[in-house]
Amino acid sequence: MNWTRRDFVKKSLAASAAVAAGVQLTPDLQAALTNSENGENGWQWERAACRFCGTGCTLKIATKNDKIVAVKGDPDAPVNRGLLCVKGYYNAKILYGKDRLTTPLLRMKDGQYHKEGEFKPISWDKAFDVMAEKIKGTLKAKGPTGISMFGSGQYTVDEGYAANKLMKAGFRSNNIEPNARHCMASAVVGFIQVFGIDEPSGNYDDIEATDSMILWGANMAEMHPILWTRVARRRLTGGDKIKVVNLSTYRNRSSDLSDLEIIFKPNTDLALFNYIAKYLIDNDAVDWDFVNKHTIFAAGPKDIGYGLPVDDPREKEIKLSKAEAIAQGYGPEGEGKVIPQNNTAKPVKHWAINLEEYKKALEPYTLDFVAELAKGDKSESLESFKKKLVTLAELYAEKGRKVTSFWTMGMNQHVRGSWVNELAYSVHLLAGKQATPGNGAFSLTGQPSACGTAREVGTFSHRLPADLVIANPKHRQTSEDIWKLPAGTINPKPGSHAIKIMRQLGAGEINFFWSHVANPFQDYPKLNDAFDAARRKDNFIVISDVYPTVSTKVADLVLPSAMIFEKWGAYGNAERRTQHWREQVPPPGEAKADVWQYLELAKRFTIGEVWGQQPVKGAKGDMIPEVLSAAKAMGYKESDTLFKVLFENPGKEFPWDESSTIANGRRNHVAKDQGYFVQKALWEEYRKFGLGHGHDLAPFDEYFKLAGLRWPVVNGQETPWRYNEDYDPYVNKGEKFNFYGPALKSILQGDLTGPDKEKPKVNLFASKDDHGNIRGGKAKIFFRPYADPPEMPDAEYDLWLCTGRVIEHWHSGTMTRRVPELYRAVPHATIAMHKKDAKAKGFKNGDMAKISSRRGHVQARIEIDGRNKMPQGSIFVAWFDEHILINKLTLDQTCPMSKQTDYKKCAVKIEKIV
Amino acid sequence: MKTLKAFVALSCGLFLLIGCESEVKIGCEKVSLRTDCVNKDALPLPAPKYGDKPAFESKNLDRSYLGAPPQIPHSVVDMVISPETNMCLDCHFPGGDPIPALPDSHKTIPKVVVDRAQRPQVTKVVGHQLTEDYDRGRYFCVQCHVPQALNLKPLVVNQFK
Repeated sequence: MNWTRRDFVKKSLAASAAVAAGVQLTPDLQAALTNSENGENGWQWERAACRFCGTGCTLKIATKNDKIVAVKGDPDAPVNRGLLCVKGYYNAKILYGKDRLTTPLLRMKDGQYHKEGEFKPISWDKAFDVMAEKIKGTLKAKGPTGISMFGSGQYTVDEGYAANKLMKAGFRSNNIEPNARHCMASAVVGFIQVFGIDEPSGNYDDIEATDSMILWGANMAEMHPILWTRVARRRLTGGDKIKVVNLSTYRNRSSDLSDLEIIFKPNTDLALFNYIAKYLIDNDAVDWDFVNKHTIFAAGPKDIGYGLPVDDPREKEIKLSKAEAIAQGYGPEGEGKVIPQNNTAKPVKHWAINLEEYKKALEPYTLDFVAELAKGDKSESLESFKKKLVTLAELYAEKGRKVTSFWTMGMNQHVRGSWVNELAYSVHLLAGKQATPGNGAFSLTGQPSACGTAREVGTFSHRLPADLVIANPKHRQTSEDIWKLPAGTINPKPGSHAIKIMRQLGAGEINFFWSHVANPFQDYPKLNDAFDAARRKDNFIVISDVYPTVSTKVADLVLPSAMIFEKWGAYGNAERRTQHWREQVPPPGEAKADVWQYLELAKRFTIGEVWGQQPVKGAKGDMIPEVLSAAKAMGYKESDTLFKVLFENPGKEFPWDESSTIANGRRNHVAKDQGYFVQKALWEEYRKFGLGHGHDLAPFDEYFKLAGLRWPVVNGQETPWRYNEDYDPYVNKGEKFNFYGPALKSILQGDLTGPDKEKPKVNLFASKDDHGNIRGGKAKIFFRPYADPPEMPDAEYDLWLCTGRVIEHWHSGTMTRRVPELYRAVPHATIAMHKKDAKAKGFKNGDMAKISSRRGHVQARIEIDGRNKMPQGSIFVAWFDEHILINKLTLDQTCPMSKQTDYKKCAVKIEKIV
Repeated sequence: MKTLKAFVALSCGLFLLIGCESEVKIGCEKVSLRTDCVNKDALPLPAPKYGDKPAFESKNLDRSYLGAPPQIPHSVVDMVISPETNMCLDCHFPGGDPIPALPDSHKTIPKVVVDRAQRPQVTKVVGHQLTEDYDRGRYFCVQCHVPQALNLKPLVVNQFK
């Protein structure tokens, strides 16, 4: 680029002169530095969303001659206010790696598909023919439970919605899962159990409104960099009262800004929260008025296993450690007690308890007990650690101090992830510091549309759009009405969650797997098993992606997808903000948007082929009924395709017009091929699920006028803080707070040992209004005990392994490792290790080492005192690097409630390479 | 897979000393960023070198496009970048040929109004203000500017122009 320092200085000077003269600076200096809008060199700027993390920054993209030529942060965007992180700026380059997939590829021998064949280019027609044949064969042999689809928190909203509809309404299979299952399923269970509705009550403006930002297992400096900018600005310019605390199992970059750093042992965050709760009660810091009016206490079973395979002995019974015995109320004498795991099948059940029971449960969580259990750094004194815990508890307790707690994967990827999410709300609710500006427990998401697509659209095996669930007959009926399906079309049996899908592929119970916007064979735990599952002879693996990946290497059919800016789409971020964008440039070669692929496949199936009686184990009579006759009565013909019934019929009222205002001169390759405005049609249909029920979204066109809106959008206005009468239209004046989420609002009563079925159920709301919305809704303050993870370091595997990300790379590195600047910044994952551990094992900085678990091994270089500073006994390896597939080592342990994988802890050893 | 496993078992019996896992080959196509079999350990990986010259002797690197954050052409190992001590700013706050100076964009702070009366967005950016100091939110320079291991060739050519 012809950029010179002289231009730079000239433009900066011009801009600063404008400021000095008192001229309002919009568009900001960023624009001055890059170029004027739609400036002299023919660049066209348009708004879009960042491809990467859950922060959801708004971009301005410059295009020229059908290529992206520059990217900057949108100066008017409420989220990022003109700034981006290093990955964000390189959105410009992620499309242009030389090895983009541009044609479908099929493993072939002698002109035919062959599992052991070599990849050969084929036409889209042939690709869909082969896929349709495989799906039809599997449906015939095994029914709808034999097929599966895998997506991510990076689907666009319309893609996720169409995939969900194709699977659940079309194929009548609920085996659709996103990688978001590995990412925030525990957050969802927390929200649903505590509030009855998914997603945060607060928003990013909490940062500027709060006095305290407490990070629990969230290295925001690297994982939510632009939010970190806002945290830093608040901390460094907001005065002495503003505090930042970093709670983590190792020292990371977020510690640099922190007033207090607490290094704890894996899983002991459970105990830390209970200590804070006890501190609030013991020190009279509970907001009793709030607690009595708006909450109820609750508990659940403790014997829920770890989500391991059913034949694993740890799923049958466990022997309590001393810490567990104390933490679970048996006292130290309970050590060694064998506890049968009786509630692995129903871990989510819970019941109301009274305050006395709640207090009794917290009794063991004294400062002495918790400090000794949780202290994570051998070199720190117990006294120093205790002092820190008291300081932390005081922040939550201090009257008038506003507190926002943030967390991400540390608490979500956790064998007790749902519990620990719930405990975060417990301390905020006790203190009365929830759902007001600057006060709240705030679950951040990792992916750009984990909220917008995976959660809100419900691309999970048990969910439907807008918090509806498969298991609820009324919810299925609502969905069938909106989708214009015969009653009983939707399979009433929830499908398999992500980990189960892989186990079933390995066992040959699922034979068809189609993945999008994800790299499952790099991101699943216990990868060696996943590889075997993929290569099993009777399995057919389809991977749609933009570049070749580890997953495409173990696939049978590879489909070339359009990338984010090569299609219309929408993402929803962690603060409930939905942002839409237009197709900026055409996809390369024959690559097509994922939604185009779903629609094309749907043309290969008639309702006659898929809406007959189907075998589904566990459904009534192990069958789901035929719905064809009812379909005919509705005017459908047996020969109608799924495309026609599910997509084209409802879509036709949204014609695509390239000269329309909404098109703004941009193309739409999906609409052009399919004959209607596919994305708008899907959006407007999807909106119907949430209108009037707390999930309201604005009409499609509205989003193109600004940098996103936070739902619920009611009467043309977004909702910044939910449940609060000052900000949320779903709360009546005078109620002050209304935790109106409708799920699980009627529960049994009991004590710490279990529910008392003799007692009547208790309702957690006062009444329902004419629209069925709750008035006087209550949130739940849960007690959840400390529990050990199932695998801890021992004599042979003597180190904890924690995995995660780095700021320079996104997820599995498919895009960012093809940007030379990002690759060269961090070319490979390293083994972050304490220098004493390294010395003891004979390593120095930069040495290659082999690390192994009971499941596999990789080689990587040792990094001592890098960005992550480990306590002794722990190592960290990022998972972006396909050269170092760290998930060969991780364990397929999950939170039994959310089924989310715990990637943050397992036992490994390190050896020299011989 | 069954036949494959049977074959592996057989090989293990025959070549006990060599070890049996080397027989199974998965994902060995010469595509993707690694071109070997994915069930194997990757070949020895080159160590990154982030420049061995002192910072003031390093040569500025070309930006990808107008407005892209400049990369760091020197090593930042042992350089403290924290809110209290920022060794980047020691040189770059004043700047001076050839050291790039902190631009005014880094000295502006967004002005935002959160107001329930504003529709449809309650939170609105109303402007950007220049300050005398730098924007403290940007203390963390390596959030945008990253060092480069120039001894490494990109894994794949990037055709962005």
